[in-house]
Amino acid sequence: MDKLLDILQDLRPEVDFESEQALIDDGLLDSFDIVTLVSDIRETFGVEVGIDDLVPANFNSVAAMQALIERLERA
Amino acid sequence: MNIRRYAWVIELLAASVVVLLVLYTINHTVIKRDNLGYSSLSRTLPDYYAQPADSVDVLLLGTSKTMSGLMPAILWHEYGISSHLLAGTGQAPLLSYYLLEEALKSQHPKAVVVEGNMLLRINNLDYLDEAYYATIDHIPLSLTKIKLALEMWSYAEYASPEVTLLPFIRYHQRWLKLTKTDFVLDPIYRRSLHGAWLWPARRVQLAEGYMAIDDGGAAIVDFAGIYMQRIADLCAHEGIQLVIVNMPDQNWSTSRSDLTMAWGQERGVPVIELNDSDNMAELVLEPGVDLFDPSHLSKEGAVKATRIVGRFLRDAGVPDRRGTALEAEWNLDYDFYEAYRRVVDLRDTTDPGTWLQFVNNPDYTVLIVSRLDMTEALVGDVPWLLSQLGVKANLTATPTWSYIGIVRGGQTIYEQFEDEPITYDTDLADGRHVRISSNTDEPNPSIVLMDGIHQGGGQQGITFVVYSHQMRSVVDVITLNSSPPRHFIR
Amino acid sequence: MSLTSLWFYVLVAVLLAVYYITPGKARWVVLLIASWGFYLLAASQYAPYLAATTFSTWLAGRLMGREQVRLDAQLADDGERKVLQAASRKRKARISAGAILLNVAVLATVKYGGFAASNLNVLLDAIGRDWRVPVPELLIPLGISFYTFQSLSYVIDVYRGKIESQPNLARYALFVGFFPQMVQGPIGRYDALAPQLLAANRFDFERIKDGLGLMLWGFFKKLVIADRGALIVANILSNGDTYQGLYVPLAMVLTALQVYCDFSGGIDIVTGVAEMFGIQLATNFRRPYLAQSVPEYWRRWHITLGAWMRDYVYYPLALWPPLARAGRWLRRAGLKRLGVLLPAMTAELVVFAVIGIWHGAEWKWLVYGLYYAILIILGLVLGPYATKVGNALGLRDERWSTKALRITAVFALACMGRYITRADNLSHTWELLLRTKAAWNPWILTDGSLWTLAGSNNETLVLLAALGLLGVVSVLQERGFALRERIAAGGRAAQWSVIIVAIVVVVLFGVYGPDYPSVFVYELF
Repeated sequence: MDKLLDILQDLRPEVDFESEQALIDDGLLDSFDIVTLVSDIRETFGVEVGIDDLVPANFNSVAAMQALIERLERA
Repeated sequence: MNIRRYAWVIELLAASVVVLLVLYTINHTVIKRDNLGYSSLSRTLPDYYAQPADSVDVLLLGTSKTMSGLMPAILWHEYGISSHLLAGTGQAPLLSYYLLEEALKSQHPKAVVVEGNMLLRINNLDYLDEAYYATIDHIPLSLTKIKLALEMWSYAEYASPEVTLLPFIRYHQRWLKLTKTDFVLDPIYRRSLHGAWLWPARRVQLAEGYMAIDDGGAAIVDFAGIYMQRIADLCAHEGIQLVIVNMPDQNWSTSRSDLTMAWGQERGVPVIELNDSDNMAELVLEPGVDLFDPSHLSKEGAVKATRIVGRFLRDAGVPDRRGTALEAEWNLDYDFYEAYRRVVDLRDTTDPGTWLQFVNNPDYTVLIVSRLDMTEALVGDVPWLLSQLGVKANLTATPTWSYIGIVRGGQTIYEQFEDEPITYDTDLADGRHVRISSNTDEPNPSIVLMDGIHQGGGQQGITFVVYSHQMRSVVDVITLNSSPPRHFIR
Repeated sequence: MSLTSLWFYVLVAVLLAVYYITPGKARWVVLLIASWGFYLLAASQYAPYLAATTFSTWLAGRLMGREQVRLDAQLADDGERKVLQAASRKRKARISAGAILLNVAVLATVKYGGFAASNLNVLLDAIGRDWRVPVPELLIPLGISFYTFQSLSYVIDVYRGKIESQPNLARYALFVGFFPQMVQGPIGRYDALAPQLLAANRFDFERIKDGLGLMLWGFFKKLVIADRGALIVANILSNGDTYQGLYVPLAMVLTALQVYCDFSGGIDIVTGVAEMFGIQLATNFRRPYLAQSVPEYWRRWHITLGAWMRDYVYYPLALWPPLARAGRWLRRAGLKRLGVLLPAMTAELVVFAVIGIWHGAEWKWLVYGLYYAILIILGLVLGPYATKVGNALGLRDERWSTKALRITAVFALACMGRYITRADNLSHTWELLLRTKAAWNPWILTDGSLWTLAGSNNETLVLLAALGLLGVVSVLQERGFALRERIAAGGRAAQWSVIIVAIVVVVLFGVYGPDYPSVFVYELF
């Protein structure tokens, strides 16, 4: 959780990630941010984020992202 | 079985019927018809279909040489032979064959006359598609037409079968140009020239001894040969006498003549060579009278050529139908032919004086409209000829500018002469409604409408619309105006 | 055999009857025979290309499928999970790379070989070498740009484990060669398309009517709008001395509408044909000229190509580790925004360059792609500032005036792009721009000059009325108005009335027949 928050904070320091629930839908993260975010996640957690995982639902909140990472780690 | 499950079949059938009706209507609206006229390729088949059953004894097939050179009216007048021309401009034997196949569905002719020239000249379908389709478009959808479409396609790229079978593909863009005349679905005039074209005389130099030249290069074209053979086979099968005619042609040669003669001899088909010395001696073609151009006869030359062909047909046993039920109709057609001969001369005239003399005929009602000072147009003997025609008003008077008149054979039927626009509505003796107007509010400054259809006018000057009672049709429109050199505008 | 040929539809009608008479299990065989039949009729000389692509991608799928079976067996034996997975993945990667390389190489050779060779020769000339590369003159096989992409997506999806491979070559061949979409797409995906193709689709007359209606709408767009518009554009562009100034951008506006109606009309026709067989093809257009931003425009225009690029080029490239590392390095070096933008921007550039040259082997297509790449990158870089400026000006997202402004701006940019694609080449583009500048004549909009462009007032009127109808229908659909369902709700009489009126309009007002050779713009790509 902390590692993920570090990545996010580094990417967009001005966003309050812990309380936001609609990061993508509200446009707080754009597609460029997602690309960077995914490659950072891949680097940090060693998981393969597939193209099919790149949907708003997986990135709208920190919890959703956390769930995604855990699911991928299990695979 | 559950009926409701198959309700869609009924729905589909009903919808298909409506769609086909709609397409049929569109097709019939946009194809080229000529119901106001009497002599065009688009009338060839409709006129033929209108003939009473078993009334056509001779069919004539060929190119423009045949259309202009053989006159069914003369065959009737001189021999009582009932015939119909299914010839067409540049007709290829492929078309001749299918027109024959189509024609045999409704008539049982005794003889078929085919132009020998086709064996040598027409080697493809690459030109005159307009002319071909003007005739073909009127063949109803049938097996014959499907075969025709497929065979045309195999020879000419433009003739893809759907274009031949569904003419609206070619003509749908005509929605832009449709006029009221396109919605006249029945011919206004029911008399027929039986497919003939009457051409005026031109001054043509006769080629000195043209038949003496042996050009040696003549050969029977494969494409033509195939279909001429099929015509011969079809005639043999149906027991019809096939006759080949070589029409008078200044470009004909002995080698061409020999080839067609040999072709006929091989098949036991008689060949009438109108270019040989005997026939030429009888024809005595006069330049300026009998020829339209080196390869086509004028309407006078056609009478002479038709006499020779008719004599042959009579001798070959084609019956004389005079004194039968056909006579009354054919006599009316002959009168029509005579009336049309006069019209051809009228239309060929470009001198105001001669024209006014031709127009002074009890067959013609002349509708006149004018809305300008005519001083410069009405010179020479023109004012006198106008008064002979029945125009009483002095059209050269100024500043009066609005005149309408109706005259017929020297009689004044109606006349009005004003300083302001005039519109006049009336019915002619045979019931045709006429409106003559010099009203500036109209789209054209001066117009003549007949049954609501625009006939003439719209130009500055004095416009004459000539209506023939015999032909039930407007036959010529000219305008005289004041701006030389074009005093006479047709 | 062209989609505008009457005989195509006669064959489709016969095929429909055969399809639904055939027992359910064998229906797909009818489609397969028909698809190959059409291809052989239309372009038999290119059949080996289609066969090679079908076979090579099918084989790759099979090999990967077997690899998966072997892996599953090994995993069941409880081996070293990660190691086994990684090794298997590597083998699959080699198989799919082989198939991809082979097919891309074929596509590149036939489509770009001549272009590459002639440009290489220009280069050789420039550096003073006097030897030349031979310029191959290969004709482009019918539909290659579409079926290659479609079969590559299959290979990659199998590789990614998204779909199971197809064991039956014949069934797979139907997926690659399904006749309606062969000529100009849409580019289908195996998971969405194949099950429908292989299913025993039940006869449904309502669906057939729906398909017929959609086909007629496609014909309306293609024959009444696109082909008539194309005549006007050609008239303006070929008479450079007469038509200068505002005429040129007007021609570009018309080109934009024409290309849209041509392509989406063609797609509607084939979607309608497929629908009659009970098959729903992928959506390829969603009213692109109502988009409010350039990226949105590309999500609405040629959707299947855009989606293909997103899934198989954009993301793999944007997430490519070296690019990600370079981005991270930049961020650490203090260039935060640039570090974030770098991978995506690079991918965006590559994607649009590929989209550009996908159309054809010409410099203008590359420039066309880059034109949009630059617009999108500018939008992303300047986006935050633009929002601030907009807010300061009081532009509010939900206002219709703001939407109209954005829609107009995006449409204007699309029309600008047509200066590149409609021109014969880039110097012609420049010439057209100069011609635009050569005269100042806004009065042509009001003085009636435009009326004569289509040939006659009536023809202009037909085109305007048709465009008006297209506009109204588009706006209605945009607002969620279900036009087809509403018509169907009116009962059979209403349905057939609409269909028959559409037939009359297309038959009378369409531009077709022996005087007008008809091709679809995207057939040529």
